[in-house]
Amino acid sequence: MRKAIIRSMMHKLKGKGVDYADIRWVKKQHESLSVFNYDVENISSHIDEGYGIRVLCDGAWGFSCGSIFEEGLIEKNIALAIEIARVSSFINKEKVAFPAYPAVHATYSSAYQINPFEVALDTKLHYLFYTNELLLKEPKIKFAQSTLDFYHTTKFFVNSEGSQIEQSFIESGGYFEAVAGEGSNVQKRSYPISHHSQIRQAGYEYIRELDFPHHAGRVRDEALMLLDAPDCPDKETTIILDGYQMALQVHESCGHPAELDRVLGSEISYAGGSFLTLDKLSKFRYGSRQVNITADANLSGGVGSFAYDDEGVAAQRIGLVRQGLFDDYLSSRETATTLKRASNATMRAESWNCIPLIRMTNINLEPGKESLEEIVADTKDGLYLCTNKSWSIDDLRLNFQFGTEIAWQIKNGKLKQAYKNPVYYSNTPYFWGNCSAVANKDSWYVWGIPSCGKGEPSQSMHVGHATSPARFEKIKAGVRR
Amino acid sequence: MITAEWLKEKLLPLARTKEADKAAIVFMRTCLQVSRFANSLIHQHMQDEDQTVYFRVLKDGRIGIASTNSIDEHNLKEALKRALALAHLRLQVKEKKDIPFFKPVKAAAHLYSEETASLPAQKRAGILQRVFSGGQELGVKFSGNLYNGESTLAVISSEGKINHHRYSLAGMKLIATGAGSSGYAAQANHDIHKLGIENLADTAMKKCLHGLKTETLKPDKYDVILEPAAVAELIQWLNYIGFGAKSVLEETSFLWKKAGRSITGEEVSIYDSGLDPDTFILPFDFEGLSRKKVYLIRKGAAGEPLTDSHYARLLKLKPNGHASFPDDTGGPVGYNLVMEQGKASYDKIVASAKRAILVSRFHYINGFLDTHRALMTGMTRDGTFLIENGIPKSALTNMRFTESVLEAFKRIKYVSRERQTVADHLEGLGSACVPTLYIRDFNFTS
Repeated sequence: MRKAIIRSMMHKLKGKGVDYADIRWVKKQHESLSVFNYDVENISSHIDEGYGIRVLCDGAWGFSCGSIFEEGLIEKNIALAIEIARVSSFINKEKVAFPAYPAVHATYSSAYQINPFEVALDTKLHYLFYTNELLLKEPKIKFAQSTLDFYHTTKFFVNSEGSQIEQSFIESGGYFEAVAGEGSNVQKRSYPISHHSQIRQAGYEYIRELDFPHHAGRVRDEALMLLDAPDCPDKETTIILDGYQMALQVHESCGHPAELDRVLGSEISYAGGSFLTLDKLSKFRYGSRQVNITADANLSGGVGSFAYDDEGVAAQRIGLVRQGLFDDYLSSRETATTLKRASNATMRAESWNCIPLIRMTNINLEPGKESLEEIVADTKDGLYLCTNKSWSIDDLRLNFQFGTEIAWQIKNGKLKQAYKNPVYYSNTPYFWGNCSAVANKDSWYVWGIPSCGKGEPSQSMHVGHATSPARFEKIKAGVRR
Repeated sequence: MITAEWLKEKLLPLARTKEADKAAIVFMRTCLQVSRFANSLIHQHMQDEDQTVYFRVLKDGRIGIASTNSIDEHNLKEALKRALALAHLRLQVKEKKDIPFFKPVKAAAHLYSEETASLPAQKRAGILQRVFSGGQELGVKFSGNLYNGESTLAVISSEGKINHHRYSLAGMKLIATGAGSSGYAAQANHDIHKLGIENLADTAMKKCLHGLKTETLKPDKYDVILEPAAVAELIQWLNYIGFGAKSVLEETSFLWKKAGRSITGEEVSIYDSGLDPDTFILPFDFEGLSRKKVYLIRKGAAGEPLTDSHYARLLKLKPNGHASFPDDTGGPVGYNLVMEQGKASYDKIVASAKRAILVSRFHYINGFLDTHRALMTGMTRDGTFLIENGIPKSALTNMRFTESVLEAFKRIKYVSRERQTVADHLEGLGSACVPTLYIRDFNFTS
């Protein structure tokens, strides 16, 4: 029924003389379960539905949206989107360049084996309680949290060029953490990532694959071990980052600065600009020859995967950094015109009431040749840093400082003692320029981050990163006091 | 328009469900109209109108939560059904939960301006046209946003009590840019006419133009003058990592086991109060309880944490009305933070500086490094200046600080008399009213 309404809305819009228009109907369902210290902290179920109308009139954009599907209100919102665009056009001295694209008719559903919304809540809660029980076996573990999240998003996109695209995505994920404490000495370990759920485009089978109970004992014991571990020594050294920390590193220091809207200044008031200015395209040495970074919206399981973006452009796999050379941006139909290129399909909106923005799809550090074990064995002196704890980077994406939950000393090719409170800090081109190895496909993993912030009003997006651990030389690390 | 009568007619019967021991409904609606601009062009121009209805139902000490953004009767009933199904799950319960009773609080009618709530795109564009023209004459372009709209928050109990709060809101953020320099100014108010837009444009432009001559300082300890936007970011992080009862229960808060003991210098007093007129007033929390004034730090001594009914019970404290969104697992937080003023004027503080770094705002602070010490790192942004002998000498390239905020707050030399309300409704709920601070030996690390 909604599809008929959306088609009828587009029919009305086309009769009003707009240059271009698209309408997205989006329905999102989110189920969240959390067990904290062997007690249910949260069981919630959320459903959200509405439509967004984006129009280009006289070379300027207008956007309006609604969640009530009544004819009068729909008419009002169509008129409002057009009025807003015309007002913008009146004061803007430059017109938006927006090339036409061929119409697409398509339907797409992300792959999954077990629909997580059909799995009994008792089963999910038992999994979380059992994980909590394992974590809380030692008295010095003060707090344990285990969480599951499931999302189902359905979109129907139509535009004035004649496209009609229906897409459906199922995502599943979770995480757990154990907090050990002795007075003001508090240490945390998490699995598989920290702060929030690790999500995949997958069904409940992925929760089984994560296998919380199998990892709970190690995570608990490492949290306890950190209580007695020395602080990470301050020094310039060789560091190896684990896969998840690499995902964050790629996210902050490559994904964001490669967003072409940031480069062109659209995000200066919030997220900031980018050091990857237009003059650097295909000329700038971003990293060493080991560094190959792709944006792949077709990656199986990645939460940045789709068939078509929110402008109706087909998903693509592009090289952002090839053998260390910066080679492409994430672009949209409008921004790609500044490069005289076609869009590489990265426009996504968090929901129906949000304007689509250039967003990371799945930004991946392509695997190298050696195994992680071989890279460690080849390292005389250094640190192996695991699981993100803190993150900060400047508005141009150059000066960064990251902290991780644990660092392992590397001595003569072997992992030795653990250190607590490690941080490392550097500058983006220097850091990537000193990349000496990227681990191979054996440890390449698809990470999913559910909370990438951008835009005003702020939007939170699900983005993916496939990475394996990597090694960097002469990096400052230690504990910042 | 959603009125108290509408809430009573449509939602109250659902809150009175017989299938639960107790129930409560949280209703939130926001209408925003946003003109976002970059390089003095409006590039994102929108209206957004949405609501969320949360159902919290209690059965045998268990709470189920479900929400919908639909106000269609069928969908509301479906959401209630989902919440009931979650609450009826036969689970082991360690700590029985409850939904507290609340008393209605008086609505604050003076916080609503019809003109601000509904100012059309054309009028916002007119304002922006004047701002852009002013910049053009000086070779400055503007990025930022101008928004207006309204918000409604209501909590409805199964006993038939309704707390309802409606207010208008407006805000402007300006980043003036030119020749590699940038300057920041922002303001938010219930009344769009009180934003002081000409002053904001003037401040952003002046900072941008002062920034044309830039130098770089080596990492070291420097005296700093932190303007209100920078101070507010530090205090919001204190709120996030340590003011709430969950972080005290988890023993990660800097307030943990410190009640009444000195944690900062005596110049520092910070409280949260839902009725403070210098913040965006929120008279009640998401459980419907009155948001009480709570000193978090008073004359340098640690105060009590912010609680909701659940965490108050666990910590054996009284609830002080700081429940967060029904499904937020982060625990209670402050939405109306106030740092008490000092005696020095802003001008005197600047004039007193022999050599200090003036920071307009920070970027991307992270406070997870060591939460007991409130150790944070972050970058300066959009207007960092070297002040020598009371006069701006030059702009500085952005610098990273890594500093224990509690220790830095022991080295405060001046707290300004003037304060500013800092809020950004495009990022979320909450506001802070804070002064400018002069702090000795602030630690810049790169």
